Amino acid sequence: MSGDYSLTDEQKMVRDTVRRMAQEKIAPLAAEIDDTGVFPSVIREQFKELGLFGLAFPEAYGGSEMGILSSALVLEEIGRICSSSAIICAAPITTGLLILEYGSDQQKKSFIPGIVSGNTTTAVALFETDAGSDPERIATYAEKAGDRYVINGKKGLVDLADEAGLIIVFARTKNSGKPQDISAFIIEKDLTPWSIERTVEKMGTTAIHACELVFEGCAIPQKNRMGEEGGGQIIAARARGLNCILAAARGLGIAQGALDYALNYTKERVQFGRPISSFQGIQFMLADMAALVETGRYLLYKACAEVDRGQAEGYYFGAMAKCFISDAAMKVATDAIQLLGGYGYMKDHPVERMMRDAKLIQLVEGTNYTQHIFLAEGLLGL
Amino acid sequence: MSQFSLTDEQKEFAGKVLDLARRELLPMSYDIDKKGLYPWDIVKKFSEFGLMGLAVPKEYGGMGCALFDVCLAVEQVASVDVSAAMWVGVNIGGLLPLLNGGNEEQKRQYLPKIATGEYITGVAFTEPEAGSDLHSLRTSAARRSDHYVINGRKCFISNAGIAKVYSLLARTGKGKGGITGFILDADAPGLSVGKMERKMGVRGSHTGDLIFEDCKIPFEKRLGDEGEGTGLAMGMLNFTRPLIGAQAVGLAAGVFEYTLEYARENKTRLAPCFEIIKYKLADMAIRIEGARQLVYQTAFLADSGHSDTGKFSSMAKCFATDTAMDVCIEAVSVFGPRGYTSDYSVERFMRDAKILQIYEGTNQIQRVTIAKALLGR
Repeated sequence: MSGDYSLTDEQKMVRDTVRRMAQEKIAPLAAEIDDTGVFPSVIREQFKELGLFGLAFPEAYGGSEMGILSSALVLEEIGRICSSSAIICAAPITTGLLILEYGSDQQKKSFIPGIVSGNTTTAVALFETDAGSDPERIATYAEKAGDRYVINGKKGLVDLADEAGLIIVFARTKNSGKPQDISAFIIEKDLTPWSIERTVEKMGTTAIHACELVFEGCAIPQKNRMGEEGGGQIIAARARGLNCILAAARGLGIAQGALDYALNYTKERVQFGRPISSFQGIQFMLADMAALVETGRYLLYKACAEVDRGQAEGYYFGAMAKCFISDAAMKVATDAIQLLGGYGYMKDHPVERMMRDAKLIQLVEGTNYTQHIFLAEGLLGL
Repeated sequence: MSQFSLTDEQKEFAGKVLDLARRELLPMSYDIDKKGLYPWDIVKKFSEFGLMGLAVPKEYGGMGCALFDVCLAVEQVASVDVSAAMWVGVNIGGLLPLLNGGNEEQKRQYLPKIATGEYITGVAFTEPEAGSDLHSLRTSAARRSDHYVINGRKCFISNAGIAKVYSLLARTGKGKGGITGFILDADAPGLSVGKMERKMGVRGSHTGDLIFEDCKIPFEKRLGDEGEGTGLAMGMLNFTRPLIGAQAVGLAAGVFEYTLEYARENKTRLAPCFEIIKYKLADMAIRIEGARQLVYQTAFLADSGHSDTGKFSSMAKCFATDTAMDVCIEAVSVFGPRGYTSDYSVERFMRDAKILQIYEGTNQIQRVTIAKALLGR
């Protein structure tokens, strides 16, 4: 994005390409993906083909060096059609960018090309049932033993852990009660398989399975520690920062998709002898929805542009965007159902799915409550 | 009700309904939602208690409850399971046109069976092109020698395929005065159940199309005179809108109980956000209590035949259902990512809540009705 808040031609091209692909390839499958809750490998293949995983990565690793804004545009377009698919695209981006920023040269060389090409599927395991997403309260322990770490513990609600070939796991390497107790590790499934205790049923984004992971004496080589021992807290914060931006992009897509659908419907639906879009009560709802979508969009683009310029405050805007957009998406999707009346409540139309999918975004990467506290700390300099 | 409090008798009644609902539904609600069950054995227990005949006058074997007590009962059931509150609520909707517009013979024939739960009822008003705008309904009732011939399609009919008898509106003439009410037996020749809907929530309440292909209804099944259908619909809505309000209050109160309990038990886990969660809990409590009092006041007005009943019915329905939706959305947030999973029931309540803002007149239509009453036509 340039200073005048417009997208570059290249970014527009990416957006339009993905918009077309999503319309043609994902839209016909979206309802079925939600219904069956089966992971849609065919859509992953589409993303691979278009090189969508590598947009934000340097050319040296096979990426196209277009910044996180391009990835956000892509997720927005996919999110308009199918939120589950957007998560499939987003997960490796976070993992890859973390490795790019905090990984050793060897880790970058070994892992990033696979992520960029789409050959490596990934997940991030931070959440624990008793700790939430708060790294300080992580209980999973990584015991150093010679040139290895032995990990024991449980992680809850890890998206895509059943599909992933690589997981970034946050675990405690000390018990001193300081932030430096936490370290990050890259676990490769081929070397040290993890076991999935249970996949948890959930209300929406059903094709992305939330897994409960168990690590029992899971031994990983020391070279798979990412960053310094005790550097995990910072990496976790960055993971959350990146995920906020990517989740916001997905949420923006949901909001836009729900608005578009409701707009079309209200123009066509005739009651009392006129299209319901001609009633002011309906027009006000539509206008409010559109205002939320547009405001959210520019807040998110601003966040992305700052991150791409290397400004740390980009992540602060990203957290704001995640809060604002997830609340907006929830409201817009809920209202979209309302505008469709009884039809909106039925699975024949996508807006009920959008509402279920939107709710998740208010809850991830720390609920919006947690995010608000983070934002306030920033404002108050705490 | 006097002095804005329940009588001891009402409290005891509500307590019994709540006990019954908890005992029967708590072990089943997950399956009812996941599998879309209409569990006849539970409905039978509801019937034995009298819940399916709450609004049926005592002389016909029912409990003869006023709207206030009906609301009280429905609120208790909804606090446990909203699908189950619909089994009770839809049944009342279906019998009201018969109760209000039927002749003695019709009432004698149907009401006792409805009261015992032998006959489940449904309301066959809505059509694809006639939702909020009832007057654009097209299903036709053509008069023959001793019967009417019905042709058309009704959609979103609750209890489709389950009901033994429906209250039907069809067109016997043009314009607003051309709508007539009928008692429709489920086994009437030419009537079939069409597509069944797949819904986001209240999946234990079955919803589907009714198809009429030269469906024959004898004269004696007509409710009142030709052209009286609109009045029957309005009479029903004045009763059922507060009832939906009561469903919403029950739903919100049920979710709130779970949320409060979760917050209490997980103080440590929620510690970083607990201050703000306390605010949210307070907000929920304020709105639920406000909604409850508005619903009770409305039911009280309706029972005393007050002329403002229509306006209050719409206000109660609108406020209570918007409250229920907002409370649920917030409740899931308090639970965090775990609230999004089926390990807890808050996500089900949230999906269920949405329909309340839509059926029995969308909340947009309620506002139109309220404004009309405020401004005069």
